[in-house]
Amino acid sequence: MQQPTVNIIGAGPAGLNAAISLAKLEIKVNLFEKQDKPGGHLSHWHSLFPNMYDAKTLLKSTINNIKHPNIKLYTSKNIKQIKRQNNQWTISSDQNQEYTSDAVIITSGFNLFDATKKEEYGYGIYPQVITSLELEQMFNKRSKWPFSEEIEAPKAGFVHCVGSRDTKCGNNWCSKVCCVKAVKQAIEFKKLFPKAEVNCFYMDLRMFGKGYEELYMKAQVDYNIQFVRGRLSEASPANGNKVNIKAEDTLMNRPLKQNLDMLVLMVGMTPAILLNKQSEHIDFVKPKFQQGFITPVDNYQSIISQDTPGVFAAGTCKGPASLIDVIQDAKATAFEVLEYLKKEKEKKAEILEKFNMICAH
Amino acid sequence: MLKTWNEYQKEVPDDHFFYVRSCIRQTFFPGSETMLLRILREHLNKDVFEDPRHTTCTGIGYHSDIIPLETIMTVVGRQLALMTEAGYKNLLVSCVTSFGIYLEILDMWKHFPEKLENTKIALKKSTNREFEIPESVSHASDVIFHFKDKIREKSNLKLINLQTGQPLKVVDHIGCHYAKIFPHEGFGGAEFPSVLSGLIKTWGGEMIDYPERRHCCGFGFRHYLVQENRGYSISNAKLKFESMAQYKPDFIIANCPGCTMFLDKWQYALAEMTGKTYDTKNNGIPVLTYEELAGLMLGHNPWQMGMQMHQINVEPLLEKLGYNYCKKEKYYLAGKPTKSP
Amino acid sequence: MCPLNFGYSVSEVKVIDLNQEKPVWLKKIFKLEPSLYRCISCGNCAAICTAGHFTEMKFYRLCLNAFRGQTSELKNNAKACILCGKCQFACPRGVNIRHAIMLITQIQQP
Repeated sequence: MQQPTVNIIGAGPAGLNAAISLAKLEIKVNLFEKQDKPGGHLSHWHSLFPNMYDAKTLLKSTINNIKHPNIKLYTSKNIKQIKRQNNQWTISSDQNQEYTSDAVIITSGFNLFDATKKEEYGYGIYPQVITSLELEQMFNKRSKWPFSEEIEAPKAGFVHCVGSRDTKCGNNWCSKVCCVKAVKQAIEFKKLFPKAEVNCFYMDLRMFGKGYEELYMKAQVDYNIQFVRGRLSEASPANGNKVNIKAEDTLMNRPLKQNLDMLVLMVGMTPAILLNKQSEHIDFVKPKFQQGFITPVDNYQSIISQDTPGVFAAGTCKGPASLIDVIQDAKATAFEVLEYLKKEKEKKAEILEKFNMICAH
Repeated sequence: MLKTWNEYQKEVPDDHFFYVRSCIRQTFFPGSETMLLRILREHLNKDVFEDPRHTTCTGIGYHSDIIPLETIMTVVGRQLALMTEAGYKNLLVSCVTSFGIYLEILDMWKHFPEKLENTKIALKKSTNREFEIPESVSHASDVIFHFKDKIREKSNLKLINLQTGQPLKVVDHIGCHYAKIFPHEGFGGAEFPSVLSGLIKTWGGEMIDYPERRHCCGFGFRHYLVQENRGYSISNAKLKFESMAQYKPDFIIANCPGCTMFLDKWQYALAEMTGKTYDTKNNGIPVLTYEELAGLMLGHNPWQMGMQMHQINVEPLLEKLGYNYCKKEKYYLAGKPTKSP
Repeated sequence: MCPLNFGYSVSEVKVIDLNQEKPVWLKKIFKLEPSLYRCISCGNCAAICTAGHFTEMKFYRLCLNAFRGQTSELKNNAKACILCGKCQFACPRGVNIRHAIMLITQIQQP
């Protein structure tokens, strides 16, 4: 019998890891990426929480692993349609090329929240206000600091939950990773500028993962990073190329102000919008997109709906998740896909057997 | 699509306005409203109609919990009836409080049509008048903003300090009810109001975005109305002065009657109470209305615009601008001495 | 010049100004007892505090005030502590509270 094929949409950490696992299980994989390079958001990061692992090393080794005879990578391919045809799934790209497979894994990931929507923080207007992604680029030396090189002791602020847990911008969910990422970035910043003064403005600190709480304590004790419970009300320009911030210190029960050289907005995760808009192009029996993220059948399985056999989802297209979670989810999904393909094969064999029996009579 | 609010532009009609005045402006900035009418009529050849029968919008009473909702709706209905009777559709409002009131009531009528019906009945019964909903509501500063380039073309003045050759440093204050209630009704929305900063930039000055720019001036209606509460009111103004003083601004420009008055008068009160003035020369920071500034741009006599009525002396600013004015005329406008304050 | 009485007065600003430099003696306290940085304001110290039943003494609030550079009441509130040390048993993050209190009450403040 022919070797089964799986189409994977999105070559970020979820897509890459699912592809590698499937390839090792002797399954053919077509991996589609809309950017010109695989890697997704991972390619922007500098180092990874909680142990400051070098992001580039991880990216390189992952991309090396997909150089496998069973994996075919298609870059600059925007998938616009997923269709079911005779127990198989056909996906088509912008250029109207069609690819047929026995199963599909959607690993379309997330978009970062557009910080200009929180106009009170002045992102895109005041140069001192940057996003967490831009800070990673600065750590990577791909862009310049928003303050003068002469400043030895810059004052920096991190705003948690920008575009998360916020009904005002329609994002009710917690983006999960920003808390620990802010702690990680604050530490990295302090390493580069030991005399810097760093304040993190949080609503709750959600240090859910292994080693996260420890990293938080390290930030406090070893790097003297201050944590202020309270959300920023606004940022406005201040004298001397600084930005003035106002917040309520909810523990002190008093308002607070400070002039900063750099204000980092911890932008949250939003669903990959394109997928949401294209739901009519996906042949689900009952397409489910709770808050724009794909809802798996009962939140415990990666299969999207029991009525849609053969379509799976992995990674952050199902909701905010850390990189570790995403990789594990992708590997688990690969195993589920294998099981599904086996069952389909058995079904086919059964039908063939019955057919042969009828013919024999 | 616009990405940020600071690029947001509001639509303002080009001609045919029905003008409604403020209750308090003519006392504190007596020439401003006349200046607006002269600019629109004489300099820009626009049609502006004013009905002497129009009254207060009762906004101050409404915000102080004295005027009930039904009453203010009927009063607003009456103003609109005067406009309807005169055949106008574009409401032009001098006062930010009134501007907020008109927008708020129109919005309420939109969401609760039965309230509109009740108002129509009440107005018909009490005055036998009928009204239509205006096509547009503009604040007077919107209109000056709309014609700012035309004013620049007609002007020989640039907002430059002739003594230093540098652009004048200007801080603005936007009345809270200008765009904080309905961001779409103001240039730049609530966070990045450009209605005054746009004038300053176009006319050659340097706009300063100081930290407490969006802070309320402290007016707050019921707060300053009660004498015991005025300490709270003045403290808010103090916060603003302290925030702007570090930039050494040459003047303050404001678009709200109450704010302009407070920013002007409170500087004197604070000087008396704390001994502190917010400029280097013990004068205080001059406070201008947008009409006065536009009037200066068009070469009008500052004393005819009533600028001698300001608490903070504007002459140091006129000197900086190298403005051609007659010092002697300040209190001798009508040929005989007016009373010195 | 005698200030004019208008019948009202200017209110004091409540805002915490983080731009203000922290006093040297306060920095010294953090240097001598760095475990202070561990505090997360959970309030366990105050829940168990004997002095807290009768006074303004709440150790986590002393800590917060110190972090924010609000020092006016620091020493006075710390004096209420009777150094029983129950809080130190309760603290989930291992702050050396007794030593910190000793430092706050005894360090030379101008």
